[in-house]
Amino acid sequence: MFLSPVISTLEEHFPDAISEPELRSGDPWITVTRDRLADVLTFLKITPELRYNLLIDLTCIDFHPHPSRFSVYYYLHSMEHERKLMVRVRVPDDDPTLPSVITIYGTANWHEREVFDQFGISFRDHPDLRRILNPDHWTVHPLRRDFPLGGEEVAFTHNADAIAVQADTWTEPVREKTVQDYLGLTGEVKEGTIIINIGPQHPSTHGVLRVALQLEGETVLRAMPHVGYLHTGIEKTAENLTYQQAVTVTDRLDYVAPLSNNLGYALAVERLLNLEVPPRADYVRVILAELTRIASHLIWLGTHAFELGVQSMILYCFRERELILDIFEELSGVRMMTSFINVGGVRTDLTPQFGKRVREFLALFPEKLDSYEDMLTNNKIWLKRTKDIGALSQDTLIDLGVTGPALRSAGVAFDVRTAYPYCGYNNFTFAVPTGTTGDVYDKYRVRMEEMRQSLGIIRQAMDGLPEGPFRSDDRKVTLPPREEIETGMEQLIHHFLLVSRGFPVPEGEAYSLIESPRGALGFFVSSDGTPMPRRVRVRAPSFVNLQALEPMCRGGMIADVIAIIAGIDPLMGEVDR
Amino acid sequence: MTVMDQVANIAYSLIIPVAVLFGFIMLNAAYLSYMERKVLAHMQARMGPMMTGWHGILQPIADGVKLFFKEDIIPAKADKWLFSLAPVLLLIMSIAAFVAIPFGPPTDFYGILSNKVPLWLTNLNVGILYVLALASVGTYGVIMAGWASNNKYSLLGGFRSAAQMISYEIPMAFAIITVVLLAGSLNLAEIVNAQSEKWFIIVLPVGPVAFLLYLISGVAETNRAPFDLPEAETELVAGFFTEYTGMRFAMFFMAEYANMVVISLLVSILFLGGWMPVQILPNTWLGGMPPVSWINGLFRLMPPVLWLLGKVYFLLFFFIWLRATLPRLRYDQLMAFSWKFLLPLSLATLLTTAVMKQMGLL
Repeated sequence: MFLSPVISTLEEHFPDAISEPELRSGDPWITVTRDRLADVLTFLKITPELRYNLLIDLTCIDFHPHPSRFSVYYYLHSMEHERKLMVRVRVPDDDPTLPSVITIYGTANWHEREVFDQFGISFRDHPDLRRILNPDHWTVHPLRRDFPLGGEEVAFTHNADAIAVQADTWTEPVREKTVQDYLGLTGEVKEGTIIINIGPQHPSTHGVLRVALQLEGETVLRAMPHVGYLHTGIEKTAENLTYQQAVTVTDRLDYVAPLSNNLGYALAVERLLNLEVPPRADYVRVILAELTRIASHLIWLGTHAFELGVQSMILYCFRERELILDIFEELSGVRMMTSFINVGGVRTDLTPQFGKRVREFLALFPEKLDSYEDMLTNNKIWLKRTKDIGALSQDTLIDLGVTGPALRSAGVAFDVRTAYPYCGYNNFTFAVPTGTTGDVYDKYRVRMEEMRQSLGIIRQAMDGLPEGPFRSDDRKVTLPPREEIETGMEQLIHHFLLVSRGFPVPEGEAYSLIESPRGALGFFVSSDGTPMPRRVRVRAPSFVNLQALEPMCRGGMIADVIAIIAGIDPLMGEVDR
Repeated sequence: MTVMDQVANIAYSLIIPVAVLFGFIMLNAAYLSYMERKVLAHMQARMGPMMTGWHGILQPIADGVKLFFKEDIIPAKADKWLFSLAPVLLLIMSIAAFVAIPFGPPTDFYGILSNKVPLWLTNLNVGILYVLALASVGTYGVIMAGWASNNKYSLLGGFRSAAQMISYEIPMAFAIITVVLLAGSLNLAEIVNAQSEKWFIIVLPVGPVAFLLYLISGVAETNRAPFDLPEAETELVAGFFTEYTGMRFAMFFMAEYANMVVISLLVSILFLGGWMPVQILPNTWLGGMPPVSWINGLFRLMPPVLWLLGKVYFLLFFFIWLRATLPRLRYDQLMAFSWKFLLPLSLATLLTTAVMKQMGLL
């Protein structure tokens, strides 16, 4: 059976290693045997007609109590041919090991550490296989299905002492770890260098990022980012909520752009349900996603400028962001954690004032944007601080899995909105701004231009906003309107079931990829046929982009580290999940 | 001379001037923080302190009380002696600089006093050298604070500060020597008097250049934005005073503001005619036509001290304005700017002045 040229090529070259070929929402999915994984991935990467050069995601699903318990997924994208491929490897419970693919895809480093941390699958030949999100002293792997929610005891007044005693026995080996260990330095530290910790409590690390720097004078020899301080187990929590309830925890990922997360999650679940949302909902989703993008970029601009010493900018940016938050408040009653985009459409219809407010913002904002640029774009000191800082080549960036403005600034026009349009983004005309060198200044220019493009998209969406329902009328998924409940018995039953139990979702997996303000945001949802997901995986763009910090910082100065972090624009809520 | 006369004499010549000057410095330091917060706030589309008194006018006093009652923490591994000494040294040096600065010509306060009193504590013949020397000693306070805190951020801040202050003192000194050449004196009062006809800032071609050189170096010398690297908040947390709390922290603050005032005073005295009133046009222009001389006469009605302070506060406002607008330079860029640009330029200015002076062109 012919499914896709990719699968045919693979079956031709690896007849015994490939099985279960299928097509899911347009993407080919294949299963590869464990021992041939590295060969297949190498082949996929280097063969000219395939060229899957970006590893979007590497994650695991626990199919407990299935005998071949774990499935590890490698989601690949080809920049040249603009197509994706899902490679799946089954890993049995009794021997949870896999070969590491770091040498093929550099970005696999942190992904593999995360899978090791959360599922206990160890990767052979991984140079640095340590826990990444959970505490070092843990012995458990929390995302396994047989690990209960809340498996770690929480300290309250009545049990605090007992836990403290227990923690003392844990923390001993942790204390012995020195910064040298964290930096991966062996033996003596080079004479004349000092090691300094930036963070986790520091004014310019965008939250609780910790970067261990090895310095010679003020020159950075090595910079090791450490994450996990804000790990709250959002993915585990989502497994224990119904599909509709889990929307609220996605808000807490990227709390500067919560609506993007809502959207990505809703799209994945809708793909599983095979549910079409009405056009009006799509338009509203686009408007909100772009407003969110502007709000998020405003925070980035404000903090970026503040960190380089322009104090006033952060206040100007927050002033304008306030207008967007007011719009959200008008719409949903909530300013940040709106959960407004949910499975099946959006939560409510637009309020009468919404259009007026958005148009007011559209009229006001371009002028403000110009005034920001007046202050920075040609400022001599700003140029000196950002030009030629933190530039990496296109190939390195792609190898490290960097997406979003950080990748586009280097000249790669990869934007999920144009590459794999969702929500009808193909109906809007907008440019994908790119830079040339990928330095901090280019990242600044790209993001500034993105805000302008977002304004254009919002304007088009407002003009073309269709009338009609704001959410799907599939009563098995979305709540029936009030009048129907009052008149129909069946509707009442639907309402009762949806609220009390949630809707069941057909068994299967679906991956949705959207362009969040920080890059390609992926939601990988697996269903076991019950009203609660088996697994919700979040491919957080900040998490992946942060891996590029080390090569970007090497050889720079302390002040550059700050500029580079600001240029990557990581958000720790999303990194640590 | 009776004992009472002697006491009165000491009171007149020492106690009252010292008390007035000290009160001025302290109040100024406190209310400069208020001014900075208010000006910055209004530039940044917000209100600044509003709750303590009318428009937050009592805020500095509340801050002072708060800092005074804060716990005084010395880190366990700090060098306790140096740690305590550093802020005191810095503050003493910045306050001592005021001793040699003339605030105006001798005055009898519009006939209130029987004889004219000078508006300075000592009229040093080498006043300008004295002020420069104190500023250099003040640098030790910063380095000591950075070293003694036993904190890597502080240490980096201290290093930056040492490098920065030394680099910027050189163009600063050359700019001052330019003025000294123009005025023919090291005495600050005489430098002002030499500008009664023409302020040094408009002595072409060297005046404006020396003025800018001195202004830039002055901003760097006081660790103000865009040269605030030693305390770069977003890089080094608070730089050399990261570990300081309570009154010790307040001393660093007061020293910074006192230094800003000293630099502003020096800029006014060296380049902006000190206490000389603004002359819109030369008195003799158009044969001394009435409107010109009237306006100039009107300006002369304002007491000279206020003219000096007016210029000082304008410069302070300018410093705050810079802070609200400009990004911070990087450490190596800062050094390159000083050694590769300011230093050659200041040397060239000095040389030009000397040559022109010799040829009688100035």
